[in-house]
Amino acid sequence: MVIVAVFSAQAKAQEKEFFTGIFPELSLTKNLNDKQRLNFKLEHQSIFYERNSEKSNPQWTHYRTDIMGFYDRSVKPGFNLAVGLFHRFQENGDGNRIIQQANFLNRGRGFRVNHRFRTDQTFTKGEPFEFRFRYRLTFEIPLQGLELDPGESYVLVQAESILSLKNESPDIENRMAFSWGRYWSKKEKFEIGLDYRTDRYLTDGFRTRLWPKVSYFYNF
Amino acid sequence: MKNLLFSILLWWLTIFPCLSQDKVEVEVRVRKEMVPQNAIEQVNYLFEKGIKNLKWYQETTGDKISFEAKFKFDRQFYSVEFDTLGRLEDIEIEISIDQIPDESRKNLTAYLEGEFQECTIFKIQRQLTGEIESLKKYLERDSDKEVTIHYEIVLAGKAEEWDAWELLADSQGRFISIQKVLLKRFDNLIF
Repeated sequence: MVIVAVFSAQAKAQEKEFFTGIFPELSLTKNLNDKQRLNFKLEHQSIFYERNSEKSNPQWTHYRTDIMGFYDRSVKPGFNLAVGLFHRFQENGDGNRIIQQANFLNRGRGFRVNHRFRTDQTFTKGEPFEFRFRYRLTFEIPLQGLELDPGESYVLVQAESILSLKNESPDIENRMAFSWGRYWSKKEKFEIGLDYRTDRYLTDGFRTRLWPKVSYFYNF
Repeated sequence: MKNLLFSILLWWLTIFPCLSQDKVEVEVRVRKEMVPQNAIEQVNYLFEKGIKNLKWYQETTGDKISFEAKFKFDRQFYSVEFDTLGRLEDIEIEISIDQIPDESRKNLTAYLEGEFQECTIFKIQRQLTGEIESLKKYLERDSDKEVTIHYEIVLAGKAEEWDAWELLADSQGRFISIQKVLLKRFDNLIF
């Protein structure tokens, strides 16, 4: 409800800053055994349209490229803990991040729901230290049958709220994503979707970003 | 940076054609017209009135193809499985542990307590096999003669470590078999 309320409030906010572009994502997961896995992820964001930009549109501006690695351990079926390291390549100074997360996965009749709680600490060149608390709710709904099997398609709906603290000033970011996915095989998944983000609710310069996203997941 | 991205992209493209050769289990929703007529007739005969949300699925496991009717009846979830010729294979009813008769539940609980330090039950299904007339009588609560009853229980259990298990027990709640269950991958949900 908090997420819905904040998203509604966002509609009233002035649309000051908006940009969109491309957002490809590559995720590689090495299963060490049935309890432990390593994940490597590469994400890239480039802008091709920015409202009020100094550059003319359409443009092709590198925004961010993130690489991250996680160690994940299943504590109990449906309950996982993970820690991760993250590096961001960006225009005004690269950043590093430490991530801790807990996942709770539940199976319903005809869907799976995952609750992801994450804390992270970011160190960016020339910027104050940032602490964030994140909660992400994900629904995965198979489009054929009650369970997602290899060779089938699915829909993914995600909502995430992020509370951040930087220089003792808090802020909120919200993300909504809607994707169509294909579970090609037990090793591979492919998703295309839209990722909509709003932030700077409590600081100056309310901002919205819309990312058409393409993701590929490989397990080995 | 560009070199790194290029190397990753190149590696990705080389692995791309190596699609998995895993044995697949696929359940697909099908229209009623695609289901053997006698399977539909048997469902109608067994349950007559009161079926809600009836959906038909075709399940392929390796070389085996079967048809499954899934629906709600008398406030419980049912699954009735048939082979491709429409011969009834079994009926599964999702139940809670309280719906297992006392004596059977005691045996089952004793087994779980002996095997695991802690456990959480995710799902219990009562599996029924037998001739259609016997099954009909069972469903009408007239008799459980000539019906074979098994309990299939999916649970998280902690022995040395936590794992997911699928336990099969007989009508008295006595152990038949147990196997570890690997949860389906969910890296796209957690990372």
